[in-house]
Amino acid sequence: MRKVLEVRNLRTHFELVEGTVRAVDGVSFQLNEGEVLGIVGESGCGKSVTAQSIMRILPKSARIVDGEILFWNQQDVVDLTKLDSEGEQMRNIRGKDIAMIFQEPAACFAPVYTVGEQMIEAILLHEDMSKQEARRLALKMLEKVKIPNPESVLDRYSFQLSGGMLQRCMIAMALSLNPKVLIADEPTTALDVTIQAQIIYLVNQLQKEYSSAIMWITHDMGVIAQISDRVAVMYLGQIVETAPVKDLFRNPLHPYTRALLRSIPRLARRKKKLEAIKGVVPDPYNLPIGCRYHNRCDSFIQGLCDEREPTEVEVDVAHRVKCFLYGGR
Amino acid sequence: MATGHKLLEVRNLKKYFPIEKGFFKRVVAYVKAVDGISFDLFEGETLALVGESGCGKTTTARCILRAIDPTEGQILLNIDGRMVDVAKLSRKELKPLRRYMQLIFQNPYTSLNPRLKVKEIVGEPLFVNKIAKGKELEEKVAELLEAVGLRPEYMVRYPHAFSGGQRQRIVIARALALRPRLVICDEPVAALDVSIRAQILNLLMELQEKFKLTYIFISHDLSVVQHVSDRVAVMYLGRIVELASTEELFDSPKHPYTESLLLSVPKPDPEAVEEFRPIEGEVPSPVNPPSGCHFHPRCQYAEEVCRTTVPEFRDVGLLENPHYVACHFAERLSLKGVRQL
Amino acid sequence: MAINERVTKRTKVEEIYLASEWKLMWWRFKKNKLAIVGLVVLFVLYVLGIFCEFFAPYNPEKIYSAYVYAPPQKVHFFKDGKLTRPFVYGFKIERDPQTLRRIYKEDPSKVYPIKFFVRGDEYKFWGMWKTNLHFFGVERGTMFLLGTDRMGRDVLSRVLYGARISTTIGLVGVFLSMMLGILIGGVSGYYGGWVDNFVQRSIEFIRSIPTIPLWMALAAALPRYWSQVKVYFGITVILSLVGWTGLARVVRSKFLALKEEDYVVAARLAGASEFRVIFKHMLPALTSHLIASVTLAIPGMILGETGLSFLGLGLRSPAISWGVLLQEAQNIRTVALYPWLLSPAFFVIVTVLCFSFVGDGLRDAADPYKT
Repeated sequence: MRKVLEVRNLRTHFELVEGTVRAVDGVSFQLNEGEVLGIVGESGCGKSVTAQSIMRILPKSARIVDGEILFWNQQDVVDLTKLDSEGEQMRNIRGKDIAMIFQEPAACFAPVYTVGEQMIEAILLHEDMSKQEARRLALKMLEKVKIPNPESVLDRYSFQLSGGMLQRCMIAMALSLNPKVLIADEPTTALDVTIQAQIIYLVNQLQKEYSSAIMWITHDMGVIAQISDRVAVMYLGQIVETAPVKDLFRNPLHPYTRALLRSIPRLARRKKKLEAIKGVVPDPYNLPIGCRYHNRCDSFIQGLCDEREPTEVEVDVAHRVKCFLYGGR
Repeated sequence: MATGHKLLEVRNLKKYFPIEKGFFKRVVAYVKAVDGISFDLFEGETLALVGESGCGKTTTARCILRAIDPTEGQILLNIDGRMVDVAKLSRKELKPLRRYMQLIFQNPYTSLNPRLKVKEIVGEPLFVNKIAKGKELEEKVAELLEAVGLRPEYMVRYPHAFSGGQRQRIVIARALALRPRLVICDEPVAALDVSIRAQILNLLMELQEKFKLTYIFISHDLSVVQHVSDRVAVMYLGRIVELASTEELFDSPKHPYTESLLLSVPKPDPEAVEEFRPIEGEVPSPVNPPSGCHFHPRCQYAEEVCRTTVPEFRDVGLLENPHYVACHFAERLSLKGVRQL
Repeated sequence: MAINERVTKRTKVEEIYLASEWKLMWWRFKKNKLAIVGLVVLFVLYVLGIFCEFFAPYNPEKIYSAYVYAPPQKVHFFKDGKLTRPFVYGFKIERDPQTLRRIYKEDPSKVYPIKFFVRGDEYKFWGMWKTNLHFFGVERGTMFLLGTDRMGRDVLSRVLYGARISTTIGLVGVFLSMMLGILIGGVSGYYGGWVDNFVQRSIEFIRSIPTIPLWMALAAALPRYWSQVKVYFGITVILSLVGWTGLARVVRSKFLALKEEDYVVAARLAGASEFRVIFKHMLPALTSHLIASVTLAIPGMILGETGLSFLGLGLRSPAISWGVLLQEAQNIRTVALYPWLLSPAFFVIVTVLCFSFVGDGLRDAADPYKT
C-alpha cells in the first residue's frame, strides 16, 4: 500500500478573545491509497479542524503552529503546511488532488448558478478541456452517483434539490477530477437514515471504482463501522487510538473508545440502563494536565495520568493507543 | 409497561398548514403535516414516534400540547378519570391544563432564555402558576436541580455557563417543575454529543420511574428509540404506518417502510456490513403526497392496489399484544427485523 | 500552575458564569477602542451643549462691530521664549488699499491672558439663575478662538449654543418614532394575520410619501406665532409619526422570529400570560438591538437638521444651530476668505462619526451569544 497523505505532529491553534484553543494538538496519521480512514470523535475534538488544516481552509483566527502535512503528488512529496494557502500550488491541489465534501451541501452551492454551471466551472478550473467536454463529464458523474434525470438536474438550482440529491451532486463534483484524497466531513449527519444508508451504499460502491483514499469524519460509531477500513478516535485535539476497524470494535483499548462503544444504545441489545461516560467534556481553554481524558476515565491512575501525557504505543499490528495502561511512559 | 389506564387518546388528528400566495394571501394548497392519526397512550409508558424529517412527528407533539391548533380531530386527556378534549379548549380553558403536559426540546441552546438566570428559568412555571414564590420558589428550584443531577448553587448562573448536556438537564428540570403527567420529549438527545447522550437517556428513564411520568418520545434515531420505549409508532408523510410494542416492531416489522428504516440504521459492528440495497428515492413532498399508500413509490412490494387504495390502519397482532399496521399485504409479507440479521 | 493563578482563573470564569447579558455586552463594548473614544467625545460634546451658556466665552448674539470677519486668534503659550499662562494677542486692523477689506494682524503689544472662571457677559443659566460666570475667557480685550462672523459675533460661542439645539432637538422625535416602531411593529409581528397585513400595507404607503415637500408643507402649516425652535421641534415630532416605519419593520420581523423561538414556546407552555411572554421574554431580546439602532438613528437626525436648515427649510436665524451657522457660510466667498465660518461642519462630522462608532460598537456587543 502506498502512502498518499501523512500528517505528522500537526498542531492547529485558535487565538480567541477567551484564550488559546488548542483544537488540534499533536495529531499524526497516514492515509494509504484506496483506503477509507474513519475519524471519529465528539464535537470539539478537532476532527473538522484537522480536515481544514489539510485543505488549508482554516478560519482566520486559526494557525498551524507546528507539524507537517505530507502529500504524495505523482513523484514528489509536498508539505502542505509550507504552501501559501491562497497560492497557486495549493489552489491546484485543493479541489483537484484533494477534494472535500461537507455536512451542509446546500451551503456549498451558490443559489444563483445552476448545479451544472458550478460543476463545469470546477472541472474547467483544473482540467484543460472544452465546455462541452466538461458538461459531458459532469453528466457522467451525476449518472455515477445514481441521480435520476441527470440531464435536468444539471440545469437546476441548489434550492430546488433535496439534501440527499445535493449531497450526491457534491460527491459527483468532488470525484469528477479523480482526486487522490477525498475528505468527507460529516457528509451524512444532516440526512435522514434512509438517505444516509443510500449515500453510504453509494460511497462503498464508488470506492471500488475510484482509487481515491477517503478520510471520513463523523461522530457516529455506526457509520464508522459501516464505511471505514481503519479508524482513528479523537479526543480533545489528539488521536487516542488508531486501529483497523474490526480490531477497534472487537478489541477497543483506550478507555475512551471502550466507554464510547459501551455508551451507544444499540439495536438488538436491550438493557434498561446505559453505561454513560461520567462528567463533561472539559473547557477547551482550560485543558486537563496530563492525559486529557483522565478526569472522566475509569482506569485513572493517580499521580501518573494527571501529571504526564502518555505517548503512543503500538500494541498490535497497526493498532496504536495513547494510554499508560499499555505502556507509553 | 402499558398496564395503566389510558392517559391520552388521539383520534383522527389532522394538521394542515395553508400555503398562501399573492397579495391577498390566497390559499393555493395545504401542507398535510399530520393527516389523520390515532393512537392511545397508557399511563407510565413510553411511546416513541419515529420517522424521517417531514413525517409530522414534531407537529403531532405540538398539536397535543396545543402549541399549535390542530385542524381536526380529538385529543382526549385523562384528568382524574375525566376525558377532556384538549383540541376543543379555548386558550383560557387550556391554561389550568398546561401543568399536565410539558415539553422537552431538542436544542438546549435555543430553549433557554439567555437573559434569565437558571433560577428564573426553572422557577418560571411555578411562578406564573402561582405555586410558589420567593424563598419557597428557590427551595423548589433547588430540589428540581438536584433531581436532574445539577448542583443547586448553579441556580444563580446564566445558561451560557453550561454545556449542552447540563443545559438539557435544566430544560428537563423546567419541564418537571409542574409535576406533569405527560412529558413529550422532542428529540431530546439529538443535539448532544455521543458521550453525553447516555447520561441524559439514563436520567430520563430514572425520572420516569421517580415521578411516574408518561413519555411521548420523538426521535429519528431507532437505536435510541429501541432502548427507551415500550411501544413505537412509525410515521411516514403525516400518517402512522405501524404501531406495536418495541420488541414486536423491531423483531418482526409488518410494514415495508419499517423494515427499510431498520435496515438503514448503520450498525456499530463492522462484522455486520451487509450487502443490502437501501430503499431508493426520497420522502415525497407533503403538499402533494402520492395516492393510495403514501409509501408505494418507494416500496419494493407495491402492487396496483397500493396506488389506488389507502390501506386501513388495522390490528394484525394477538389479543394481548396488538400490532397495528397500514399495509395491504401485512399478513402476507415476511419482513426482516433486526434480530434476524 | 501556581495555586494563586488557578484561583484567579477560577474566579474569573465564575464571574463570566454569573454575568448578565448587560455585563457581557459592556465587556465586549469595552474592547472596542474606537467606540469608547466616540462615547467619551460625545459625552464631552453633550456636556458642552447642555452647559453652553457657561462654556461659551461670549453671548452668541453680542455684536462686536469693530471685529467683523475677524480670523481665529491663536492661543500662545510662550512669550519671549518663556512658558507663561496661555494668552492671545490683540488685533491690529489695517485696510487693503485696493479692496478696502479689513486685514487683521496680531498686535504683540496687546497681550490678553486667558483665565478660567472669568466674569463676562451676563446670562440666565437655563433661563433660571442670572450670572456672568464663564468657564474661560479674557478680562480685557477679545478672544475669538474660532473668529467672528459677518456681524462680528463669536463663532465659538455660536457653535456651542448650536450644539445644544442640534444635538437635542431631534431626540424627542427619535424617541417617539422608537416607541411607535416597537409598539406597532410588535403588534404586527405578534398577532400576525390581518393585523399584520394592514400594518404592513400602511407602512408601505407611509414610506412612499416624499419627505421634503411634506416638510415644507408642515413648516408652513404650523402656527405663525410659534418661535423658530418650537416650529422645528413640532416638525420633528410630526415627522417621527412618519419615521417609525423602518424600526417597525425590524421589530416585526424580530417578533415573528422570536415567537417561534423555543424558549418563548416554553414560556407559553408553562402557562405564562401573553403580557409576561412579551415583556419578559421577547422585548428583552430586542433591547440591545434597539439601543444600537437608535444610536445609529441620532446622527441621521443631526444631519437632517443640518441639511434642512442649510436648505432654509429647517431652522432659520435668529435661532442658532449648526445648520443655521453653515447656511451663513453658504457661498464661495466665505469659503475662500473666511474659512473659519465652516467650523460648525467640523463639529457635525465629529458628532456623526462618534455616534456611528458608538452605534457600531453597541451593535457588535449586542449579541454576546453569537459566535
